[in-house]
Amino acid sequence: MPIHDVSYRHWQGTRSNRPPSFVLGAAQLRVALRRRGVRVLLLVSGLFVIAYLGILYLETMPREGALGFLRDIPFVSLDGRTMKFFLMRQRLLQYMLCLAAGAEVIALDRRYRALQIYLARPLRVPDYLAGKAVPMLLLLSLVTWVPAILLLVLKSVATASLEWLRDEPHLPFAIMGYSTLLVASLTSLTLAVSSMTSSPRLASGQLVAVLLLPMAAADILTGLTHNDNWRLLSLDSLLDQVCSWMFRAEPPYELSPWAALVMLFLMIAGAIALLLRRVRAVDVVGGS
Amino acid sequence: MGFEVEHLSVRYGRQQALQDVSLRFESGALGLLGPNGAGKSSLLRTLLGFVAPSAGSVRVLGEPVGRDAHELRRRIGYHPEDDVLIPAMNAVGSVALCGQLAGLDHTDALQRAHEILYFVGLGEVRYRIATTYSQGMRQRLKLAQALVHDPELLILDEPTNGLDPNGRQEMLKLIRDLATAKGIHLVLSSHLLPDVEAVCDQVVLLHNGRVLTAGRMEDLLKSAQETYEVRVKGAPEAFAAALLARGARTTSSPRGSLLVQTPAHGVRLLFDAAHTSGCQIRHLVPARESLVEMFAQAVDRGPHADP
Amino acid sequence: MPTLEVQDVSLWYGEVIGLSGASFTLEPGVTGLLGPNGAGKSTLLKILTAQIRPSRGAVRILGTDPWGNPDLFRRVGYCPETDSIYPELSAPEFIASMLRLSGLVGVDASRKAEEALERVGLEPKLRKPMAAFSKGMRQRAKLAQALALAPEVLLLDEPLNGMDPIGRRETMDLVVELGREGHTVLVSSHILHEVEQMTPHILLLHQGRVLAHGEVHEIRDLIEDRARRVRLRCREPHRLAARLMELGAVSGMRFTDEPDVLVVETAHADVFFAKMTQLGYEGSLGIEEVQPLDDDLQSVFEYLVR
Repeated sequence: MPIHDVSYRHWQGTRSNRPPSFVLGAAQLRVALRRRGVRVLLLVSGLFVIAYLGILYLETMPREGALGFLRDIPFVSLDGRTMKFFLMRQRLLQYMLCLAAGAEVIALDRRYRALQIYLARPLRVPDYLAGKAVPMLLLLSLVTWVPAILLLVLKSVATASLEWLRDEPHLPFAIMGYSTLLVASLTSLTLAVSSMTSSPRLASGQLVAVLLLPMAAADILTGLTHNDNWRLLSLDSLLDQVCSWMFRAEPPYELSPWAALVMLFLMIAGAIALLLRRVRAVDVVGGS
Repeated sequence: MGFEVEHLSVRYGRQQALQDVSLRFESGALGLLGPNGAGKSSLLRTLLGFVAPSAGSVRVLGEPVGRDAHELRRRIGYHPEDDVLIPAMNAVGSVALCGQLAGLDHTDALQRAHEILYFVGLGEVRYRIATTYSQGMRQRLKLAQALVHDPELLILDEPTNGLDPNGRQEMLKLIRDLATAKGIHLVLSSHLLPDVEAVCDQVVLLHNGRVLTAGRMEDLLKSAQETYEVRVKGAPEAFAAALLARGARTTSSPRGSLLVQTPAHGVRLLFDAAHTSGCQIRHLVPARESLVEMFAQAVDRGPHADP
Repeated sequence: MPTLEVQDVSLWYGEVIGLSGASFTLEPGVTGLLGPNGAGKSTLLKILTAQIRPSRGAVRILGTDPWGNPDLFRRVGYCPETDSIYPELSAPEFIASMLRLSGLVGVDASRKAEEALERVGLEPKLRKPMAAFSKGMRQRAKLAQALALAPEVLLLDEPLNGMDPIGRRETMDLVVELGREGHTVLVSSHILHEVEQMTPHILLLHQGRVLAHGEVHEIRDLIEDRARRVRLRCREPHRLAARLMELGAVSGMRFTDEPDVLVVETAHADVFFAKMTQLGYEGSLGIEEVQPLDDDLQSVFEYLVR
């Protein structure tokens, strides 16, 4: 047997073809899940789901039972109205998830100039951004469409019927459509805000400001002018409006849902354009 | 083959960073030198595929650098000059991540990460979060990240920055070992010419975006005829006077020793002068131009930028 | 008369010791301040510039205790390691404003600032804000700030850091020149080659203590437990080896891959070199090169810092 020393050894293996954004995303997810804030928020969201499981339980109880009277309460039914409530009422939690899992990711990398490490690998800027988006995409999905669809599937199994789908055939599309819009807009906005600064704390502050200030401004301006078009400024109002429209419910504002939809798309496109401007490969080799 | 550029020009907007640069680096260790703004960063950016040349061609490891430059980076290791690290991860995690990003699978990457961290001397502290590292440790961590995927071309930008003297010697030893014994193509960009002299067998000197000098170190640093670097103990003044009397000319070298230019039979003459003046010869070698002197002379007489 | 005196100075940061009973004196000329990271160099410079007060001991610069004597710093220049510049100012503005803080007025301050910038090789009228400076230019600006009042004592913390080879050469020349002009210059650096080119005089700190102070070759002579290794190139290495054995004063010899090289170990350098010089003078063995392998600053540093 030959004697080996502890000096450098070449690697004898084959390279795998996993997309680098997957690898980066998985690592980011592990980092995000280590944060206590993220875990607490996921837990709270889990409580929501448990509450809805309770509703489902009541709904499937026989009317003749002791608690049968509860079924006459309008809320005790997993229909379009309650599902919309489920998705919309968790908005604050979703914002907080953005803060906990997303606000700092690019700001931290800028602070420690980690981009220089990432982009010196077989990784392009879009791969990097996709990897950075993975934890937010997954976590936000985990508090929106994933439990919602799961509840509906459970309901179908428990009642052994697809009656709800006949009554409200738009429901799966509404859940998926609204969730996709919410996840995409929050993720792109959060990452864009995070890329603006190299101070993680400032990034969090800026995200709070970006989420809250337009909301307040829209409230004030609408109040002053009695014109709901000001609501176009506020991401929160836009999401509310689009959500009600998709679930075929009474819209909260006098605002064309199409205008709201276009505005949302503009916001997402703007955030992505900003990201691509802020994260550039040329800076990888420092020249100062 | 390490890399080959032909008639390469790079510009950023109106600023011409590189102009008609042609270089060929076969194997070994190449020192990349130049004053600030000479175009070193631009050359590195081009080799890594971050900027597209405005003219000319670039081949790295035998492949043309073009749209698929990022694929080529699987085979390149890059150690940036800046103080960089991956936040919120320990050293093993971040080195393994770097390996995975370059295409190693999870277990391979983890195993390599441990091995490489030992190699760079961070074995004992490999589970610490990288943000708590001292500057010297961060420098070693950067080397580990550049090496984990076993690159064929290793580009090091100021790798000894901020290291203390012993740390610097260790780093240079590791780098030299990689280039000489492990067959990795090494490009070392540095302002510390003694480092380059210790590691590299070839140098390229850039100035104002052009190649000023390029070649093998031994050809560039010619030893001057019949000139010696001498240090004596005893009476240096008497020694100098004795040399003068024998027809030699003396100047003081930057390192506090004496540069002696002798007529023929130099060494005998030096011992003779030492004997007469009652000095001990403590140091006597043929004077060789240092890289610092070569650099200074080349830049002084080199062409200057176009306005 | 020493210009700078440090007597039994210690400093603790809570339980952490920064400097431990350091004593030394400096006279006009250049002294290199060396030591591994964490040896106490920065602590020492902070004490000398009155940024922290020593826990024990006395410091005198030009006969005065720097603590609580801001006036002293018109005669003591300091070039810190950190990037302590104002990025929005131009270099002349920056230095002139620092000079005004020291009590100079208007035109005088601008003139002195321009002189200092010229001396460090920066364009004295440059209006560019320092945010656009390269690392090397920022270093030069800081150096100019330290020099501007032509202080008698100069404390330079890693002044060459980040400079390109031309900047390094010019700055090293400047330091040597300042020493010759009679300034007391204490300059810290990790690049031992460069320290050797600036001065043979060093102050070596390690673990908060002064390990060595003086000329490099003298210090090497004092390290007795390390036999010196000398590489000799000659026409007849085997005969040379035999002669040296007869004469004594060598404790070991080794032949290498090169056929005309003999490496000698000796514990008695003086005796050995005297005999070797004699052999060279006699000339029959053809000694061509004499190269000590471990008497430079790098070896001294490695032997002392363990």
